[in-house]
Amino acid sequence: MIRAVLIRVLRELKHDRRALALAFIAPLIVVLAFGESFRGGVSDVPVALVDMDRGVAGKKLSELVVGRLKNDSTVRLLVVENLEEGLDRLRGGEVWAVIYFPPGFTESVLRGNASLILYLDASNPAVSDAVVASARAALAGAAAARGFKQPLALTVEPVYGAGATYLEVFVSGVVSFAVFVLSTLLTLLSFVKERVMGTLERLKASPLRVWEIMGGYSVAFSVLGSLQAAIILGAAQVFYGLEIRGNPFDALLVVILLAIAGVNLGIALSALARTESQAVLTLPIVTIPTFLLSGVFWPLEAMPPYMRTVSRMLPATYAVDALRSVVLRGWGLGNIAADLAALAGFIAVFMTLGVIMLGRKE
Amino acid sequence: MGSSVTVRSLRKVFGNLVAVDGVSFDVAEGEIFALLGPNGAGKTTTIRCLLGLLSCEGEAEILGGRPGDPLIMERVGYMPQAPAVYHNLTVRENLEFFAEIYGVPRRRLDERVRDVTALLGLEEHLDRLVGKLSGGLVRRVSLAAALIHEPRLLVLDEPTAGVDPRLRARFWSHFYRLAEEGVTIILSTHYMDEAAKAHRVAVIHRGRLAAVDSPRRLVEETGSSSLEEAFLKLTGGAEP
Ligand SMILES: Nc1ncnc2c1ncn2[C@@H]1O[C@H](COP(=O)(O)OP(=O)(O)OP(=O)(O)O)[C@@H](O)[C@H]1O
Ligand SMILES: [Mg+2]
Repeated sequence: MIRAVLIRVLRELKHDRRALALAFIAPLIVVLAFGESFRGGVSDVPVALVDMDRGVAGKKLSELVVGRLKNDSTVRLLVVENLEEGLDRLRGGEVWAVIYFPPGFTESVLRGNASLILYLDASNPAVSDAVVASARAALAGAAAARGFKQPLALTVEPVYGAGATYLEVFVSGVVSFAVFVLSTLLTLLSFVKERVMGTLERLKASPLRVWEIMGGYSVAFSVLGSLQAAIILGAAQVFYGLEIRGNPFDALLVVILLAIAGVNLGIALSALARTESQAVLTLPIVTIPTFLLSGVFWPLEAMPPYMRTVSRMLPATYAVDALRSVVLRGWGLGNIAADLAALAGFIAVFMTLGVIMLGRKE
Repeated sequence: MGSSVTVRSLRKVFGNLVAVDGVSFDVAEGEIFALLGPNGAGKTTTIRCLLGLLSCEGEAEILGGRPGDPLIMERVGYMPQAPAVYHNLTVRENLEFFAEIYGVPRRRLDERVRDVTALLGLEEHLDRLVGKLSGGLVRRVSLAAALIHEPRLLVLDEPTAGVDPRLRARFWSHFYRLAEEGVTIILSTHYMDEAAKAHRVAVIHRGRLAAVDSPRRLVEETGSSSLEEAFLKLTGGAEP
């Protein structure tokens, strides 16, 4: 009797080639996403360098420190003219930190009260902690090379995210993940059901236009996604004292765009996954890369640079970045315009795919 | 009376199977036209071609326009062979949804829901979830959804399969009433007695039309004593 059931199950799988293929491709994608994203530490973090050190007798101690930083793969130094320019880049999100050697750096080192200043975007501790550690290591190395007994001191000036808790950092990731996964998967399942039940056939024979179907789903999930975001952010505020530094409505806009992107991706995927089993099997393909590669918990800066290219192909990446900027940096729409544009781009691509998939006739 | 549906040389191939092979017919306004054929004959495929749901060779014109044009489809009611209604909605919610996508004005909505549910005996079930209804009731909801917007062309794929005889008789008297009002009805069926009630019957066999005529003439011309006998002769008798 067991044999009969066993054979039936295997035969069913044999006929559902697509489900079978997905069953093997999905774990492969999962293991690659895990393996590649946890391959190294934080690396290649853009940091601005402002070296105003006058030196003493033609010798600049700053160069000793900079030399060490240049050999440190954690940071990628970007030399700028003056502190203003460095801080501008920090505020524009181009760099995570500004390393500032004041004019009297060498003199003060010799006097024993060195003051290297690190202006820091602390909105993502995983990244900023790594930068601070690199700066300390470079200072310690330079001191040792010169035979100073006392290590050179570092002054850290957080520009953004001062005192940010891990919860405050992760909450943007949690919101993005929840909204994107829910809107994508529920739409996908819903469309697979429409196809299987024959209601899609009925809709196609009705005066409804394809974009009206997509529009209806998009609005529905925008509302649902907004509620989700409100619940998550509200709970974080009430229970853990989350402080949203920017305008909550800007955050809402990000959430809505992300939900619409998810809906349209779900519709496009529904053309690939025609049965319920296929739809369920696409679940890890949507969730795991989003979870690991979008900066939800693990910053992009902690991934090998080529994996960041993969991250840039995931909509949630831009939503996480935009939300974190609003919540921790207090940025407004102008500052997150690039992220919003990227999300709009995803919507355009997914919608086009969706229209093609829905309009396709056998 | 003008012709409401014109089909010329429809042909549909799935892989190496010719499901519909050169089907042509006209259906007049107010006519009840039955597609009669055994399982796999190509009835559903013909209907899907006719409504523009499949890409097929040949030409199809419905209500003077192109299938798929929203302005035309607004006046078409389609009941697919599968019970294509939402199982997580109540009967009323289903009907309201289909009414709205077909542009039934809000002020007429209650009246329309009342009319079709009365016709199909669904009054007591209006607020029940479709998923909890019996199979026959689900089919009635599906038919109700096709009737809700008072279409000028009704395309019904096996509307009476799984429906009890009493209700079937009620459907047919309604079909006649609609036809008198000028509604064109195309339906598919396996049942001889049902086909015999249509104004004209297209006997379809292996994707081809074996004959198109009134039931009486089909019987006469094949020298048969009943439509069933005529059907068997037209579809090759005992031959598989
Ligand atoms: N999507 C499809 N892909 C492949 N073959 C198909 C498809 N749809 C129908 N067919 C084949 O086309 C032929 C005609 O099918 P169709 O559904 O039109 O028959 P039918 O007359 O409606 O039968 P029934 O009375 O059982 O509903 C059948 O052989 C069927 O297997
Ligand atoms: Mg059929």
